[in-house]
Parts: sequence; C-alpha cells; structure tokens
Amino acid sequence: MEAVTWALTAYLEPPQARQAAALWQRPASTDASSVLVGLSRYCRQIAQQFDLQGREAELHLRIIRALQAQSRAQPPNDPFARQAVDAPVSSPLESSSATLMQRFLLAIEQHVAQEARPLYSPQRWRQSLIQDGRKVPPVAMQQACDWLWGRTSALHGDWPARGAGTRLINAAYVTMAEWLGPVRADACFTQIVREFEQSRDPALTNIRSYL
Amino acid sequence: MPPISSTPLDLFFRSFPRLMLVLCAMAGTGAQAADPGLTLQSLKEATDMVWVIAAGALVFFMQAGFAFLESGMARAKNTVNVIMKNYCDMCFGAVAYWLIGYGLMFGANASGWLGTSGFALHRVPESQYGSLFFQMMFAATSATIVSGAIAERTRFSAYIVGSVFITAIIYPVFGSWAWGGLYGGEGWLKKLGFIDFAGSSVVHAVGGWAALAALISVGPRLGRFAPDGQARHIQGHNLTLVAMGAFILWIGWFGFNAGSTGAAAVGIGKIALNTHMGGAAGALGAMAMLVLMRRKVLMTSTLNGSIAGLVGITAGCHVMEPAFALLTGAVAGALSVIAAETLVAMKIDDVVGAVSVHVVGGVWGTLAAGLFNADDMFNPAQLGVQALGCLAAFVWAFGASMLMYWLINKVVPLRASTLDEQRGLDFSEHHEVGYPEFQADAVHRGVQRA
Repeated sequence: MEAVTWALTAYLEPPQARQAAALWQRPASTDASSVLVGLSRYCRQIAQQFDLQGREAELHLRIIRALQAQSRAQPPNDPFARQAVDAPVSSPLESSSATLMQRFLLAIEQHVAQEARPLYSPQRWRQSLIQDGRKVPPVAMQQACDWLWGRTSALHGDWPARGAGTRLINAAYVTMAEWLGPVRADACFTQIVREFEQSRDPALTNIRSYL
Repeated sequence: MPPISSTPLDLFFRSFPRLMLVLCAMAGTGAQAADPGLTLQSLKEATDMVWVIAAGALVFFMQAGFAFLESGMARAKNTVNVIMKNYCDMCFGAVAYWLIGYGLMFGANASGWLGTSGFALHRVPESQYGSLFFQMMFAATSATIVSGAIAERTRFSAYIVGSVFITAIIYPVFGSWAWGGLYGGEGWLKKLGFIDFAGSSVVHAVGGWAALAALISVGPRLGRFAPDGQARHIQGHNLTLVAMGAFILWIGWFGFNAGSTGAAAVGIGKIALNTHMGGAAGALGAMAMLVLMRRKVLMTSTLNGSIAGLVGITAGCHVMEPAFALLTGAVAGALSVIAAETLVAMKIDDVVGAVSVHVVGGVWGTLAAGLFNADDMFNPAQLGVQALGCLAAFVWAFGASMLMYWLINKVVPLRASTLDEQRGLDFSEHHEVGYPEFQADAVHRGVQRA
C-alpha cells in the first residue's frame, strides 16, 4: 500500500494518491502473472477514475518498480548506488527535460516488456540500462540510477539535448537493441518518437532534438 | 598469359591489321599516304591497348556493382556511408597505387619479395600506362572487399586509412610475390610456378583476409547477436539493389578475367566462357547446398554463390576446360554457404558475406587452378605450390591487416560510437541521408542542421 501510494504521488496530489492507493487489492495468489494481471486492471481503473487515460503503462511500470524497491535493500551491480538515500515521497519533476527523459525511458521499457516478455524483468532491464549508460556524465547517471532503483519518485536534474539527455536516450537504444535486436529497436524507437511528437504535451514534442 | 592457338578467328585477328594497312593505302590519295610509322606490330599493340583499357573500364564498373550490392545489404540509414566507402576506395586507392603500390608490385623485383622501381610512374613509354591503369582497378577491387564486410559500424576516416594501406602495401606486396617482375626479376611464388591468372588469391583472398581482420577488430553490429548468443538477422534495405550489384559485378568480371590476358588474343573467348560458367555454377552450387542443408533458398545466398563461383574461376579460367570451370564454380558456391553459416556461428558479423565469398572462393579457386589445369591435371606438386600460395596469402594479408587495424585503432577508433549507430552513419558521418523523402520520419537521428 505504501509503495503504491508513493508511486502514484508523481501523478496525483497526496490525498488523491492515498485515495487511489486504497483501491489497490493485492491478488490472493502470489504468482507473478496474477499480480501483473491484477495490476493492469488496477491501472486501468485508476486511469479512468483520476483522469490519467493514456498513462496506464507508465503507472504499471512505476508501481512495479515501487513494489520491488520496497522489497530490496540495495540494487545489485549498480555502480552508482549510494549508501543511504531516502526516497522522497513526493518530488516534482525538476525540468521539462527530466519529464521528457522519464517518459521516454518508461515508453521504451514498456516496449521491451511487451516484446521480450520471457526475458524481461524490471531489475534486469535497469541493470542493462545502467551498464550501457557509461557515457552519461556521472552526476546525471547518479540521478538516473536514483530514479531507476526507486530511490526518488521522479527523475531529477537537467537533461540537455546533445548532452546528458541524448546520451541517456542512446544508452536506452543500445539496451533495447541488445534485448530486441537492432531492427525491432529502430521500429520501437520510431514509434515512440512519433507518438511523442504527436502528443499534445509540450514537454514531449521536442523529442527529436534529443536524438 | 595463356597460349594462343591458331584458329580461323585468330587468323582473322592477326590479318586484320594488315588488311587495315592495305585499305589505308588504297584509300590514300597522293597527299595522304599511310603513316610510315604504322606497322603490324604497332597496330597489334594499339589493339591490345584498346582491349586492356576497355577491360579496365569494365573492372572499374565493378566498383558500382560493389556499391549497389553492399548498400542494398545495409540498412537504409547507412546507404550513403557504404557508397562513399566504395567511391573513396577507388579515389584514394588510385593515388596510393600510382605512388607506391604499382612500384612495389610490378617494379624490378630482384629479390622476388618486393618491387623496387616504377613508383609514381612518370615519363615512361606510353605503352606502360595502360598496364598501370588496368592494375589500378584491380587494386581498388581488393581494397573494397573490406567495406561491405564491416558496413554499418565503422568510422569512415579509420576505414579510409585502412583502405589506403591495403591498396598501397598489403595487396601489392603479395602481388609482387605472385605476379611481380614486369621490370625485371620475378616474384618467389611465380618462380615456383604458382598459378593465379587474374587473382583468386592475389586480389580476392587478400581482400577477404583483410576483411576478416577488420571484422575481428571492429566487432559485430549492435544487437546482431543476442546476449544468449542467438544470431539475429538484419535484413538489407533493398534487395533489388543487391541483385543489380551482382549483375554488374558479373559483367565486370568479363573484363577482370579476360582483360588479364593483357592482349586482344583469341584466348579471351575461353576465358570469358569459363568465367560465365563459374558464375552460373556458383549460384547453382549455393542453391543445392541450401537445399541439402534444409535452408530456404535465399536470393542473397544465391547471388553470393555466383560471386563465389566467379572468384573461384578467376585463378584458372585460362587453363581449365569449361566442365572443370563449372565444377570449380559449383564447389565455390556451395562452400560459400557453409562458410557463411560458420562465420555466424563464430559470431562474426559479415554484412555482405565478403569473407565467405572472397576468402573461401579465392582459396578454393587457387587450389582448383592447380588441380584442373587442362595441360597438367591433378598434379600433386602443382597443388602443393597452390596451397603454399594460399598459406602465404593468409599469413601476409591477415597478419598485416590485423596489425594495421590494431595500429589504426590506437589513433582513430575504428568502431563508430553507439550514438552514430543509432543515428545511422549517413547522418553522423556524411550529413546526408540516402532517401530523404522516405526517411523524413526516420527518428533514430537528430535534427539535421545546415
């Protein structure tokens, strides 16, 4: 419940987030597929009730991440792991570039989760992404790791195009190419960028300058 | 050069200059007598030169074949890069070969290991320039074999440095062993009786070994092999171009092999026929092998089979009877299929199959030239010399290329960055895209800035 509340605070005001979290019912079975099916249903319900249509997949991934972060002390193989970082319960996104990066990475992860279903786990994906993010400036990568491992509820920092932002997107492309193959990676990339450019969110339409 | 037999056609060719002289004399008025310097010999030389230059132009056209074939096998975002590499191979290669390569390869070769004259050929009898022109096209062909193998992930500048070294040093040094001695002396392989008429080893195997070294140095394309080792097929963007390229290569091969006579001799008929048989049988051999291996009969594998057949017949096209040319081509085509699968199993990402075509076809063709020599069939001593030549080509071309790419990598990274691979090398290296209208939505690259 706490993890779900924390995940929802990126989208809703705290009272609303608590209200939405109250609707979460953990499935009776602990089987991973049952949890995922229940979570998908829950995300659709939340999206309808709290006007978050179109962001179900993001919600889904964020809640999974929050649930996993809750049950884990330290992520393995994370070169950027800090000794003790308290995840802020609610932290507004610092810049539109961070919003863009966060949404882009979530969209990529969603594609990978769909297309590499047997191999995919959020943990493995994050590990791969961090490994491929060696060229991202260390300070920026630290912020990315904090978000990826659930230590912050949102991605912080400034992610300029042709700088850290472009590098992180490239790292995601490399990881996606390794997971799905370069042909599928190009296709997914194209689809995501097209969706961003056609969206009405002004923070997202600038995606091409990051490529 | 193959022996010239006396056939009616040959007699016609031989009498043709005389006939022309008589006609000139008859047509001449008192004021226009035939040029006193015009002799049968000079006419023969002129005719030979016309043929060599025409054949050289055909070999030059093979660069277009390589450009089509290789760019078609690459993804659309790397088309311009592949074509630029082919184009620049020829341009940089022409200068490098004129300056250094030709002298190393054909200069006075007293030691048998290296030519020492004929660098930057200048103020020599006019008849020598034709040979330089023809051989220059061969050198560019050898270098360009590498470009397709390492397409889509190689930095352009590093590639060009490698290409220049191949044209100026790696190719000519082996060439001097097998063909050297135009200005005195003789290459050590040539002395042993090594048969490689138009370059199965000298041109193709050397280029193929250099390509293998480049492949090992640069590594596979991003995502070509899954983390569990599974190979992922990356389809070329335009198989029509690939087919067009293969056709052009085939046409060019008639100049490549038949032009290697260096003379408009009647023997070019057999050479052209054997060349054609080798190419045709190569395709059939590849198809048969695909069927035997229970694989789908792909057009790309079939075309590569025919090119392997053409490579294979190149060494012995002047000494084989057509039936053996057919056998040589068929085996080369079949082997190219097996070699391509072996390379994939070894996680070597050869975009166009350059190694399986040029190395395997070249080595087999060189051995076949010793086996199927019509005047000396299945001579084990000759086969030994051929095998020694193949081994020498491997040791020199592969070893020198590995060293060269290692050194280049120390100065200019051979491998393009992952960002360049994402954007495509057309955009990142050349600031142009191959298909602007169709790629308006290509989003793996950034906004192009003027």
